[in-house]
Amino acid sequence: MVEPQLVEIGGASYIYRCTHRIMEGDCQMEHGPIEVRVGPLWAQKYAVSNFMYYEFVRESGYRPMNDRNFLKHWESGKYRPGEEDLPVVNISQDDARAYADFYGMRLPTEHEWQYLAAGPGHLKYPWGNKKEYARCNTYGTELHPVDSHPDGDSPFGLRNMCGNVWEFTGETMYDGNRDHYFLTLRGGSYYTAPDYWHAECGIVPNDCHLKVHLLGDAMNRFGTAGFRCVKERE
Amino acid sequence: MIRHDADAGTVTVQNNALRAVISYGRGAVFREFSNILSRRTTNADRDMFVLNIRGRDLASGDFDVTSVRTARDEVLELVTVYMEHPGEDLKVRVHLINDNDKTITVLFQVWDGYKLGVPSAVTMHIPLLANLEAGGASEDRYYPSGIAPTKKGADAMIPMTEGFCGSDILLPLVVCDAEEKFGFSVQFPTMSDLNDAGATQNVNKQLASISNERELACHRLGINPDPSFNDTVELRISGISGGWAEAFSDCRDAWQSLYDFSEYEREDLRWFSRGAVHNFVFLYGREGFDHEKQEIDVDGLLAAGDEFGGYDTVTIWNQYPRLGVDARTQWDFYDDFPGGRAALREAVKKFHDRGVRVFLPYIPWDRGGGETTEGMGDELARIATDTDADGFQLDTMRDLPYSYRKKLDAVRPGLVLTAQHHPLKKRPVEFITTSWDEFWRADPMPEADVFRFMCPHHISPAISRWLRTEDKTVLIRRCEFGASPIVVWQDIFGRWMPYSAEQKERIKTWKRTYLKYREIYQGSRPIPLVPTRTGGVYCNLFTGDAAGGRIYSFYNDNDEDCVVKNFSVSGEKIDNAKIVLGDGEASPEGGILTVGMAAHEVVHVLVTGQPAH
Repeated sequence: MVEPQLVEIGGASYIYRCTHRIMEGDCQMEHGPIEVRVGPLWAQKYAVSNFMYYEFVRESGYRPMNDRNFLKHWESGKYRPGEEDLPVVNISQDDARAYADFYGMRLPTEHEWQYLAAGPGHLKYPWGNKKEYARCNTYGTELHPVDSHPDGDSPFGLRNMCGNVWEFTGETMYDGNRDHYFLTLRGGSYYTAPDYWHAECGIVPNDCHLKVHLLGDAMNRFGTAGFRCVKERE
Repeated sequence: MIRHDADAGTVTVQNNALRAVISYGRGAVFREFSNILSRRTTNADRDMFVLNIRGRDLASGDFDVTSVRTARDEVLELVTVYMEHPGEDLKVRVHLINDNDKTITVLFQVWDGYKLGVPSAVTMHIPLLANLEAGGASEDRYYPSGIAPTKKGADAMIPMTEGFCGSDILLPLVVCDAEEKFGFSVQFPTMSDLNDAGATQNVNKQLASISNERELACHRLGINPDPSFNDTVELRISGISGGWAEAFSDCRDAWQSLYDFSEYEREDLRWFSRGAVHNFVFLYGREGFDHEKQEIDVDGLLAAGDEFGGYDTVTIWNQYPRLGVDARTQWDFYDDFPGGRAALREAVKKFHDRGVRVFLPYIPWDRGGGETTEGMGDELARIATDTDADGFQLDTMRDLPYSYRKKLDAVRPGLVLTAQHHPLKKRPVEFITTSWDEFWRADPMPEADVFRFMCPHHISPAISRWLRTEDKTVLIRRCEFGASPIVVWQDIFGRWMPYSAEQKERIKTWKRTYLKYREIYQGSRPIPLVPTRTGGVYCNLFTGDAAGGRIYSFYNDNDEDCVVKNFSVSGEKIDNAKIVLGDGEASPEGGILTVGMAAHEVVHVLVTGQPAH
């Protein structure tokens, strides 16, 4: 069983710039370039696993108001045997926040997530600047354990920040104009939808995010999106 | 009538409108090709064709005429001139098919014996076509892809094309006198959808792409003969006495005659044609969704629609660009939508209670693992059952398996299919009864959508997505000019692109006008781009099938106000004229119309009186 583990991240400033990935409609938020300050932080080495989330549910009694699609891959309130170390999915950003809050943590901001993945060297991918499929779980058929692919660690030693599961960041965006609520997903996933018009998956560079419009809890729980947390460090 | 004088070496073919005289001996030429209604002898001494092969030009006069045969039956008369060029191992048959009314079809069939053992490149030039003359002091010319040039040099008529394949809507070459009466219409019939000349024997598609005088005069058609006589080029030449209007009308009749439009007669589908302003709502924004209540905001959406004169339909969009993050399909999204299908059904009922019909999306490219074509059709039918929606918007589509139509009919009558793009092919045109007239240009005027005029019972609301303020005004003008409904789309997948108050008011006015004169605007015989004799002014003609007058839609593309004087379509007498849309003045003096209009404005004039043809 993979246990939660925190990695120390020193405080730093860097020039943040991000590109959005969406077929049409654009992404109404700050993409930089802009100087930002990150940390100091503790960051989870691994994405939250089924086991970790199960422990959270057991300890907290958490149940969302609208539970459609919530942990729908579990059976009888628990993950299936053998899936304990797979990243938890079918949770919304709010479900992820609930986990983080319970343990005194939070979801990383856009700036933080990108820094955790790319490091101070602005790496294109967590492991370097070249697309190397073997270092992550991409174009695959199933989730891999959260501690898999050690060759793909980010400069801070964070695991699987590219591929396997998309990761939620902390912001819920609101464009203030016509009430569009959206979030961004980071890192790509193992899954690749079949058509050009589908959302792009596969290996996603550290400085890209996918805009996802929000429309109710059931819609907002994905079979390919998980999360990891950070917490402040004195 | 055919008169063959073997001694003189001439054959004359004549009907009610045309006379063609062929002179043959060594080689063959057109001695004349005339519209006898004009009492002019025209197109004298033209080679029938010029072939170029292996670097040599070979005119019909260079061929040996081996025989000239005539035949007739109860309807048609036929003249066939056989020619050979032994030196190049080429044979040509030129047929003149007389319908004994107003058309003579000139059909060329080229046979190539592959002199070198392999096919050589061959081009064909047709002098009769290259310099077709109507006679008279001056002439009007309408090129198949250049009906009405705009200031920018484009054609105001928007064709039906899509890359490698196209539709079978090919416009004619029309040459007539400046009085818009006598002359010729040349149609280019072909049953091939391919734009690729190499894959077809009949190369009429190339002729239909001619857009100007130079292209016509210098045309060199790449042809693909082999050692068989098959159709190479077919010119369906008619003698006209009503100018462009008659020629276009004939072309439409010929095109429609090959189609079964019975689906359009279905009473249960006609509700769509009674609408004028449609809405496309991206459900992730506030325009149509209440995020606090987590439900579709029917009242809010329709209240906003009132500013446009009221929405007649709404298309509820909750799919793209969200699909594909995980393996959920469009069918799952219907379930995962807040409240699921039951909530959608409840919203649809609210819309129905307000007299508004509802479309839902069908996303053909979102095929889940293991889904089959027929299975997706079943799912579509299930959505119709579960939500009580009135139809489907066919995302990205020009086509749909016909079985889907039958599956929807089995759910209940009245379910309308509207494709994102005009259907191009015959069968889809026959059963997909509506589509969007979507365009992407920021400057879409002056334009006439050829499908709107060739298939006027196929109602196509105009829509464009990224147009900004000024361009949206042009979009509205385009709807007015082409007398088409409009789709109001303001939330472009998350970017809010609203209409101004003034534009909303203008759409409201257009809706009122469109519905008041709907029987005229939706008449079966509209004519696009009738000549105005005034530079920069374009005009479409809409005629109701029942009495009630006709409406001329003028657009002034000039930067200044202008007056169209002495306007009439050949043969009509105008008793009364009234402006029914736009700012302008109209007066019928001596049965002829004078219309004044502001710069870049659309003006509709309702006239009564003796129509033209």
